Amino acid sequence: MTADDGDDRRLAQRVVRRRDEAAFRQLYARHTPGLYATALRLTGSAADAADVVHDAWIRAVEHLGRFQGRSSLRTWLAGIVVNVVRERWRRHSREEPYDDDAAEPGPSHDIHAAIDLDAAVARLAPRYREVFVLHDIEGFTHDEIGHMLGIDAGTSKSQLARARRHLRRMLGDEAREQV
Amino acid sequence: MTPDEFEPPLDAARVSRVSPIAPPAELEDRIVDSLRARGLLGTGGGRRTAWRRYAVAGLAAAALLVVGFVLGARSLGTVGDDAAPRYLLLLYEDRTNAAFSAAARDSVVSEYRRWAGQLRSRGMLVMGEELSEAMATVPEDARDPHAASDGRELGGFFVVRAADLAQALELARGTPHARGGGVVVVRPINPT
Repeated sequence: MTADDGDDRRLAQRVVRRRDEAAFRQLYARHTPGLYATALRLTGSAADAADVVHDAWIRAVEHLGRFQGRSSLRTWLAGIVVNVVRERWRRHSREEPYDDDAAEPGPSHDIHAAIDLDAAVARLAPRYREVFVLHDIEGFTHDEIGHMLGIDAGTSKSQLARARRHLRRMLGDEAREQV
Repeated sequence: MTPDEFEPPLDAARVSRVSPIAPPAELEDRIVDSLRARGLLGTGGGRRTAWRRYAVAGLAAAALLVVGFVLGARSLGTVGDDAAPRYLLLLYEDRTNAAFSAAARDSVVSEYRRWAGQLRSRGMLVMGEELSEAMATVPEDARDPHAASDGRELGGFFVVRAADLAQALELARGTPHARGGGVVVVRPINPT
């Protein structure tokens, strides 16, 4: 357990046992920038990301007493963010089907070779977007991602590889970045 | 390892150019307000606008409770029948409850006065105290066994004398605390 993990646990205990607002605000300051960045890259909308982080923190504090410390608090919170995003995707499934390969970018997206990485990530199918954002941008390990998403670490690796391939196609990098 | 796993990372410089994203400034207070509304955060220890707003309500509630407890303790210091069983009344409260707001101060103080007068005339109160919000445990990491799952906190207690549990429950139902939305737990005290 790192020093940061220990601090997180002490702050979490103060929130659970004493409903301590100051402790919560410290946890908020430590983790919200990362949670918000993850939510924004998964939803592609600042308004949606703020709502996701709001709902995720409510859910986290409601269940903070059950946090066992088997993973870091950062990983646990990121998992809640991903779940909240998934629930929103399900609710809006007509706009963006969550588990539908039709949402994957096709060859026609090659015309977007000049778009930046954020825009390209937003075009990924949700399951690829999740793994790419969590691994390549936020720096979680495949084991942590597997724990968050309820998949094997191997599945996480496989989806990451496909996400990278789709992104290369969208960014027009296949010719420049030789494997 | 499957062939899929050989896909190398994107150009590191490109990924590193992903701009840092700051959450909206108002989000923190919005979340704190929501947690308060659900009883998941108390009224102390905050900052900014929410701190100031809730500090006033928190101080008013604390002052109000002190007045009530002091009135009760001072006026009910005598016990009529020393042989009557004693009961502990544990008072759980939601400290953000509007029933204890500054606006309700006069009516609640008046209620405490009336309730204290009734028990004094019947010689049924042994003592009563308000508890501070501060708390520590031994061992240090132990969970507070009195922390209610619905967010209420143990805010004070009374020791009363009553003929039996039914009468003690009747006293509990009559407390301003219970009528204001608080929860009162009644525990018989074993004679020593």
